[in-house]
Amino acid sequence: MIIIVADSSALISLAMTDIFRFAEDINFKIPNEVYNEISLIKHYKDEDGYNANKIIRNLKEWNIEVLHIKNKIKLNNLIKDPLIDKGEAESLILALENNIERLITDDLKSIYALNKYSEGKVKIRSSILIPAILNFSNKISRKQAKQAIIQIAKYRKWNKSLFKESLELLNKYKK
Amino acid sequence: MEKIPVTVKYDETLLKKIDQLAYENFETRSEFIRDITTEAVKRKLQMEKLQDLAINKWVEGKITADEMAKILGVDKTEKIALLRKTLRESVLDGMKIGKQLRK
Repeated sequence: MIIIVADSSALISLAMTDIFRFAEDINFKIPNEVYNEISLIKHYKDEDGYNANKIIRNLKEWNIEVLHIKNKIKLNNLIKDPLIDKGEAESLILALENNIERLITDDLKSIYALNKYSEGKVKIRSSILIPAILNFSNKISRKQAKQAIIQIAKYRKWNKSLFKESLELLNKYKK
Repeated sequence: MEKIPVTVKYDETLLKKIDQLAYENFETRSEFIRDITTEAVKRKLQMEKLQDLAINKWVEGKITADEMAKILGVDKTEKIALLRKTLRESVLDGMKIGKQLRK
């Protein structure tokens, strides 16, 4: 079992790709604030809202566990930076307090801010980490992994060349 | 195409400048605002296309990060470079963990 902290953007990306059901070997931990954000987003009448709804309904099935953070002083210091919001700050603190090595986010602004504050103790990754894990642990095919990465990249409006490079990397390595 | 009315609030000083410029251009306030916003949206879209092209060239190794920064600005270039690194590392890390889980 591998433990990974996720923020709202990563959870929504993964819910959209429908690959959570193959991720039984991954335990997702989220802080309270991310749960609150998802609970709020689920009321939106758009794709984010639809996917947030799926997350709330499937927390248990998808191994998503909500945890509290302890260090509120650190939280207050982090959110003084306009580049980092409360959900992301709590995600980083959760990872640090529980010695969780990886945190996934798909928000460009967050990637920048989280890298800045992780002090090298937490690896900041994109949600495309999950299709790559599932492919190399034989839970999903190469084709499914690629489809998931393309879906995430399009949803996040990432430049084509950037995510193409990730697909090429996936092709390059044999299982 | 049908035009849909919108309400926009401006502060008084800016509105005075808008009215002055509209008058100088022989346009009504609405016409003037419509023209400059249309032009601004066009320019923004062109800029986005240009930025996308610059990122493509950079990923292909045809231009340097410094050259890309001239089009994107230093801030955005740093963020794009970090996103590229994060995506690459996510795939490589995923391979490593996936293989471990398989054992």
